[in-house]
Amino acid sequence: MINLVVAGLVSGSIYALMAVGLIVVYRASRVMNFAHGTFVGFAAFLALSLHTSSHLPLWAAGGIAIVATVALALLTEGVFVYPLRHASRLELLAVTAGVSLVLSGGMLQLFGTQDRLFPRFAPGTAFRLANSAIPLQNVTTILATLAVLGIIAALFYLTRIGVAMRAASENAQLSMLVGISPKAVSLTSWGVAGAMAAAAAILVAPDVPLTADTFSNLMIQSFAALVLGGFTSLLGAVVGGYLLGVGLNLFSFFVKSDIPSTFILCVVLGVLMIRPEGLFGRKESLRL
Amino acid sequence: MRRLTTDSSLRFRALIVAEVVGLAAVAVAADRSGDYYRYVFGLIAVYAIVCLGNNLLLGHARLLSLCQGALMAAGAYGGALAARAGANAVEMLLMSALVGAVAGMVVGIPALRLSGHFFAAVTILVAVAVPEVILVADRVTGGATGLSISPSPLSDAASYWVAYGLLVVVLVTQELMLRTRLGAELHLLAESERAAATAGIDVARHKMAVFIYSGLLAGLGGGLLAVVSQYVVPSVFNVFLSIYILVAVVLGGMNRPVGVLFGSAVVVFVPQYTVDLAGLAPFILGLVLIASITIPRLWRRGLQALAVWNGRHEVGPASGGA
Repeated sequence: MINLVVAGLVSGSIYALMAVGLIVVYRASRVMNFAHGTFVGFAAFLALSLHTSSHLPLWAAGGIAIVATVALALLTEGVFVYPLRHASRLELLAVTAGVSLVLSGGMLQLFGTQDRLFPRFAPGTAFRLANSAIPLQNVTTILATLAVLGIIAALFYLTRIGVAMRAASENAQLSMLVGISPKAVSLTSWGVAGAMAAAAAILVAPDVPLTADTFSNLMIQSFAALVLGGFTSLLGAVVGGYLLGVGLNLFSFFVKSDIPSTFILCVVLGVLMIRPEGLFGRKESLRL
Repeated sequence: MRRLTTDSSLRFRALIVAEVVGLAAVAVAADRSGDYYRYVFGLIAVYAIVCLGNNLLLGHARLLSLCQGALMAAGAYGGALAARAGANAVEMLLMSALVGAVAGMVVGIPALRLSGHFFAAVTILVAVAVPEVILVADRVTGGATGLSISPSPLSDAASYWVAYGLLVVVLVTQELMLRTRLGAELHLLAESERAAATAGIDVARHKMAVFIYSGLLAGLGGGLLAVVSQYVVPSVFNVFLSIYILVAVVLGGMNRPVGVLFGSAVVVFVPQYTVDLAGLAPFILGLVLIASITIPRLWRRGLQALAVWNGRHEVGPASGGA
C-alpha cells in the first residue's frame, strides 16, 4: 500500500511537471503546446544516448540535454509560434501538433520501438516504512520535483520576470503599455517550459519504459491533470497531477490494471460535470 | 429548409458538377491501375468520408475533436458484429453509421458542455480509452486478435465503388446543406458563437447536431474500412488515426468540403510510401502540416509588403480572428 502511494507520487510528479510546463506556455502564447511531450522525449533520448554511446557521466549528459531542450523550445517559439501570434488558436495548435509529429517521427526513426532503460541516478533504498522498502530513486524524484516546482513558483511570484509574465498573460496590451515586451515574455516562458520538460525527462525516465510512444501517452495523461486542475492554475495542475498519479496507481492495483486511460477519462468527466472550469480554474470562455 | 438563392448559384452548380465528374474520373482511373491503386484510392475515399464530418466540426462548429478514430472504431466494430450475425452489406453499413452516431452522442453529451481546450482534452482521452476498452471486452470484440468478417458482405471491387458512391453522395449533400438556411447558420457559428447566439441560433443544439453528424460519418467510414480489410483490429484505431484525420482536415483548408479530398489523399499516400521507415510518415506529415499553416500566411504577408511598397495599404487581412 505504501509502495503504491509512493509509485503514485512518482507518476504524479511526472504529470505535475509536464502540466506546469504546459501551463507556462499556455499563459504566454494562448496555445496548448502539443509538442511538450516530445520535448520531454527529446531530452530523455538525448541524455540517454550521450550517457551510453558517448560515455558522458549522467550529470553532464543531463546538463547538455537541458540546454538542448531549452534551445529546441526557443527555436519552436521563435520560428513557428511567435510569428503566428495573431493566428487563430486552432492554427497555433495545429502548428505545435506538427512540431510534435516531426519530433516523434524523428525519434521513432532513430530509436525504434524497442524499450530502453534509463539508468537510475540514485540506486538503493532510502528508508523502510511499515515493512516496505522505499527506493531512494523515488524519494529523490519526488523531492526534486517539488524543488523544481518551488523554483517555478518563486520565479512566477517573487521575481520581476514572473510579474511580467503574469501581467502579460492577464492583459497583453496593458502590459505592453507599462513596458513589458511580449516577445521577451513569450521567449522566457518557452525557455522555462523547455527546461521543465528536460527536468521531467531526467527525473522520470528511469521509472518508465523508454520508447517513442511513452511521452505522448504521458502527455495525454498530463493533459488530464491540467484539465482537472483548471487549465490556468499552477497549483491546480500540481494538485491534479498528484491526485491522478496516486488515484491511477491505486485503481490499477485494487480494481483493474488494463484500463488506465478509461479510468482517467471517467475521473476527468466526473470532475468536469461538477465543475466545468476544473478544480482550481477560473470561469473563462476558451474558444479555438 | 429554404434554399438561399445567390447570384453565384451558376458557379456553384458548375463546382458541384466538376466535383462529381472529377471524383468519378479519379475512381475509374484508379480502378484501371490495378489492385494496389484500387486499395489505396479506396482508403482515400474512406478517409475523405470521415474527414467531411470533421471538416464541418472544425470549420463550422469550431470544435477540435481528437476522437474521430475512436468513433470509427465504434462503427467498424458495430458493422463487423452485424456482419457476423448475418447482416447484408446495406444493413451492415447502416449499423456502422448508427453506432457511430450513437457513440458521437454519448461522447458529445458530456464533452460539449466543455469549451475549447477542455473539449479537445476530453476527446483525446476518449481516443486512448476506446482501444483499451476494445481490448478488455475481448468476449465481444475478440481482443487484440480482432474480428474477421469473411465471407465479406461485399466483394473488393464492390466495396470500392460503394465507398466512392457514398463519398459523392456525402460530399454533394454537405455542399448543398451549406447553401441552405442551416448552412448559413453554421457559417455564422463559425464566425462568432456570440453573434450566432444573438441571432437566435441554438448554439448548443447546432454543435451537438454537427458532432453527431461527424460521428455518423466516422462510423460509416469505420464500417467501410472493416469491409475493405475484411478484418477489424483495435490497433488500427489508435490516437494517430485521429490525429491524421485532423491533419487531413487542416490541410484541406477547413473552409470548403472539397478540400478534404486533397487532405485525405496526402494522409493516405504518405504512410503508404514510407511503410519500411516507421518514423518517416509522422515526420513528413508534421512538416506538411506546419507548412500548410505557415506558408499561406507568409505568402499573404509578402503580398501585403508588396502592396505597401506599391503605395497601397491592404491586401485582405493578414491576421485571422483571435
